Amino acid sequence: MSGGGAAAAAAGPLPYSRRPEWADVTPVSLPAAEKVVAIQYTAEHAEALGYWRAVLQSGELSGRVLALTADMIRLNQADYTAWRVRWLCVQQLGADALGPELDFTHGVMLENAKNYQLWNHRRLVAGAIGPSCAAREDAFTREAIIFDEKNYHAWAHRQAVVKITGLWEAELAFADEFIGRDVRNNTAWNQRMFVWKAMGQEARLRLQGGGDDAGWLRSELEYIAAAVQKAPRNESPWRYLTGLFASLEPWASSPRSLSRCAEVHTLCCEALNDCPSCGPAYDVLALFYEGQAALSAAQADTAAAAATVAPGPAQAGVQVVLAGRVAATIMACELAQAALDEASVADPMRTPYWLHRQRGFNDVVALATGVLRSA
Amino acid sequence: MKAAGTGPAEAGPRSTLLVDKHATYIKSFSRLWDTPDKLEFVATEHFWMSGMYWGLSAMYLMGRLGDMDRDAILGWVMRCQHTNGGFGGSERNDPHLLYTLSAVQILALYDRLDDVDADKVAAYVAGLQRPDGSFAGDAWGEIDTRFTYCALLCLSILGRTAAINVPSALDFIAKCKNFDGGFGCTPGNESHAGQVFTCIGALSLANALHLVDRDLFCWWLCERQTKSGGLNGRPEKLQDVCYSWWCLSCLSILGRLHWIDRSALTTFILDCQDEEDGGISDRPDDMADVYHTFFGIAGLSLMGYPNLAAIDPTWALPVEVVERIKRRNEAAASASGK
Ligand SMILES: [Zn+2]
Repeated sequence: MSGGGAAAAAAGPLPYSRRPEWADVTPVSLPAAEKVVAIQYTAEHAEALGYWRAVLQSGELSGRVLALTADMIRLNQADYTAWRVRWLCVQQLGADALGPELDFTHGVMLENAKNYQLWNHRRLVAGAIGPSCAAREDAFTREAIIFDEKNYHAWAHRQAVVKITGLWEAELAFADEFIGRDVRNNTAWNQRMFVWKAMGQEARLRLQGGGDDAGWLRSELEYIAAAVQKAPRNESPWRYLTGLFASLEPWASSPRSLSRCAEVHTLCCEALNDCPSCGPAYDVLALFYEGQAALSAAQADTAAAAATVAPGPAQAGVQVVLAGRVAATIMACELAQAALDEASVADPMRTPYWLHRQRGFNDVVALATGVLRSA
Repeated sequence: MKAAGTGPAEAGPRSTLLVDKHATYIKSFSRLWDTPDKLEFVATEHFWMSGMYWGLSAMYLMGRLGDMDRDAILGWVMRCQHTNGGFGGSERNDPHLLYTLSAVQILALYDRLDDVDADKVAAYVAGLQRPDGSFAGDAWGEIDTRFTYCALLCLSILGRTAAINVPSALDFIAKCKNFDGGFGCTPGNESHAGQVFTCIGALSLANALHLVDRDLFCWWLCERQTKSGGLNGRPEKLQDVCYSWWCLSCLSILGRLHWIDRSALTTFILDCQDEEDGGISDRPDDMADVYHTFFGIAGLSLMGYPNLAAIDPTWALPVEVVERIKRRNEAAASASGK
C-alpha cells in the first residue's frame, strides 16, 4: 500500500479529498480548543490529519488506513499512535501484508535508523513471519550496522531474530566480523557473550568440534589476548574476560574461577609488558590476586580446623600446611595491593575507585595472621 | 559564583551557570501547544509532555518555576489524559507510560496530585505489566527497562505501588543485568547509561539495590568519564550531557559520586551552555534543547552547584518535592488505617 504513496509523489501528492478511495469519509476538523495548533501544520499535513482523526474515531483498520499511516509516519516518524494503528492494520490484512512492511520499514530506516518505533514494528513483523525471516533481517540489520556499527536497536533486533531462527553460529560469526572491523566495538563483544550464554555449555563444545571446557576457555583467552594486543586500554575485551568467568558455566558456579586460571595472569602481564600504564590490566590483575588471597584464606581456614583435631604426631604436618596457606594469602594481598597502586598511577582520574578496592586487604591479612596465631 | 574547584582559568561567559538565559530559553516553550507557525514543534509533538516536565524541573531547580504559566500548563496536562487513565505526549497522541509519568511528575512539581484519580492512573499502569514482570510502554507492546522505571516511579509518586507485581518487575530487571554489571533494554542487550539509570532507579524505588554488583557496576560507571570531563553512554562513544546525568545519578544512588572527577564534569556541562540564547546542548557548541538543558542543570544540582535546589537522583524531582510526596503518601496511608 505504501507503493501508492510513492507513485503519487511523482506528480505531487493528490489531496485526500480528491482520492476516490476516501470519498465516503468526512474528515474531522480540529476541535475549537485545539484550533490554534492547526497553523503549525502544512496544508498537506493538516488535510491528512483530518482523515486520520476520522479513522481513529471510526476504528477502521484497512488497506487505505495502512496507506494513511504511511503518510502520518512520513510527517513524523516517531508518531507512536500512527505506528500502532499501522500494526493493527497489518494484522487485520493478514500474512500478505507482512512482505510490504519489510520495504516500508527499510525506507524509514534509511532516513533515521535510531527511531524506536521503526525497530519495534520491524520486530513484530519478523516475529509474524517466523524463522524464514532470517536472510531479510540479516541484510536489513547489516545495512544499519555498517552505517553505524554500534546501532543499539539493530544489534538488539538481531538478538530477537536469532531467538526466532536459532542460527547461533551465524550470529557468532557476525559478532566476530564486527569485532574484527573494530576491536573497540563493545556492542559486538556484548553480542558474542550473548550468543555463548544463550547457546549453553553443550552446544558450545559441539561447535568447537568436541574437546572440553578447558580447551574452549583457552581458545577464548587467545581471542581476548589478540584483541588486547591491538588496543591494550580498550575496556571491552577486559570486561568480556571477567564476564566469561562470572557468567558462563562451569566457571560461574565455581568460586573465584578467574583466579584459578593461570592464563589470566599471563594475559595481564603480557599486556602490561606492551603497555605499562594499562589501567584495565591492573584492574584484572588485582582481581586475580584478590581471588587467590580468598582461596588461600579458605584453605588456611580448613587447615586450622584440621589442626584442632589432628592427633599429636600429625600436628607438625598440619601446622606446616597452615603456615604455607597463610603466607600465600598475605603474599596475594600484597600483590593485589601493588597492582592497585600501579593502577592509580596509570589512571589517576579514577583514584577513588582504586583506593576503594584496597580497603579489604588489611582485614584479610589480619584474619589470616589471626588464624595462624590461634591454631 | 564560580563552582568550587572548577578547572580552566579563563573566565569566559560559560564559566558559571547562566540562570537568566536558561530561564528565558525554557520560558519560550511554556505554551508550546499554541506557539504559532513553528514547524520544528510538530516533529516533537509526541513528546511535549516530557518536554514540559524537563523544562519545569529545570526551572524549579533554578528557583524560577514561578515564571511559568501554571494554570495554562495544568489545564493542558489534564487535556492530555485519556479515559483509560493514561496520558498522551500531547492532546492528539495515545496514552503512553513515558508521558503518563511526565504528567504525574508535573502535577507533583505543582503540588497538584489531587487533580488526578490515582486509582485510575494506577489501573492504566498495571494493565501494561506483562507476565514476565516487564512493562510495555503502551498498547502497542514495546518492552524496555525504561518502562519498568516509569511504572514504579509513577506509582510511587501516587502511593499506588501495590497495584503492580513489584517482585516480578524486579525479576525482569535482574534478567537484564549484564556481565559488566550494567543493564540493557531487554535481557542480553548491551549495557547502556540510559537503561542503567532506569534500572538502578527502579531497584532503588523498590529497596532492592542488593541486586546490584556495586563495585563492578560503579567501575563501569566511572569508566564512562572521558578526558573531556563529560561522560559517555557506552564504551568508545562520545561524551554527552544527558549521559553524564544518567551515570551521575546512579553513582549518587549507590553512594559513589566521589568516584568520578566532579570538577571536570562541572566544567564540561558549563561549557555546553549557549551563552547567547540560553539552553544547554549535548556537547560544546551544538544546538541547545530543553532535554539537555534539564539534564545539565540536574547534573550540576547533584554535584552541589551553588544556588540550585537539590535534585533526588532516584525520583528525578527536586528533593523538596519528593519529601512532600512522601509526607502526602504517609498521611494517606495512616488515614486509611494501614
Ligand atoms: Zn544526549
